[in-house]
Amino acid sequence: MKALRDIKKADLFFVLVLGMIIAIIWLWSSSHESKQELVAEIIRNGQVIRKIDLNKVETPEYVTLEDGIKMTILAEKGRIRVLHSDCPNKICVKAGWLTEPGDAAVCIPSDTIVIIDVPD
Amino acid sequence: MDSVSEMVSAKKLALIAMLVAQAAVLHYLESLFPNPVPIPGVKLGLANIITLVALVVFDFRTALQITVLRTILGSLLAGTLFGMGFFMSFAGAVTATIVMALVLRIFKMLGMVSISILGAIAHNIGQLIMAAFILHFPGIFLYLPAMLAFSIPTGILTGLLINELVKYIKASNRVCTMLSD
Repeated sequence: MKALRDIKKADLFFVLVLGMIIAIIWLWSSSHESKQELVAEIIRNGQVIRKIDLNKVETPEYVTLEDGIKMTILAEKGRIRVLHSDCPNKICVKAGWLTEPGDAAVCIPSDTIVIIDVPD
Repeated sequence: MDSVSEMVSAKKLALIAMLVAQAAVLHYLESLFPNPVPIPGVKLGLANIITLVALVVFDFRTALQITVLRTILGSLLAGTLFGMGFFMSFAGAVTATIVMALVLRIFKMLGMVSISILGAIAHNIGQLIMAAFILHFPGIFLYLPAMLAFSIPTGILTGLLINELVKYIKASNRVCTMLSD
């Protein structure tokens, strides 16, 4: 602790000011990051049947696909998942919540893809 | 008179060589540390200690020479010479040297701790400019806030080490001049 006594007052002041500046930069950049686009696409048989902007979903929204293998998809603010599917392996259900661009739940038997768009 | 100035320069040369060797080894040792955070380029900046000591004990030119030599030798030891990491640490180290020399001259009230933090920040910025230049990808600057946050604790640590080192070097210098008198 003897070494700590050699820190000048100006140094302490400088470190405090710099720490605050960096905290502000950090907060600013992380608040920027959270505004990233989250648009989920539900694709069946190669066709986009539904596009949901996940940032704008206020109340949880259920999407039911009736024709072919039945499937229920749940969209909430900032995330989406396959809730239930009649397919044999349930791999799409096990994919869980999709929260990041590029996340996807894929069901091969029913030819269905739920994917969050990657912004260009 | 001539022989005296020669002796002084020989002493200086020996000290420079020693500092280069120490800095190169620190540079190499640092590359052996596993990185505790998932941000490439975050490190303690131990080699920067030598640069700042050289700035205090000698002058800007000598410090720059030592810095350039140690990045080349350190990368040679680590096996990263002329790789991307080499260019990044080269750019970072040179930027840090320039910034620390300026701060040392202009803001006399600041101590070693502040100067070494500023050196760490300058190193990060120089590094990222070089990386953005090599990769043609300015998005790499998104790393900057995180790197800046780490530059404060690492800068404080190296600053404290420099305080101690400078004290010892000055003390040993006094002993040397006393003996030669």
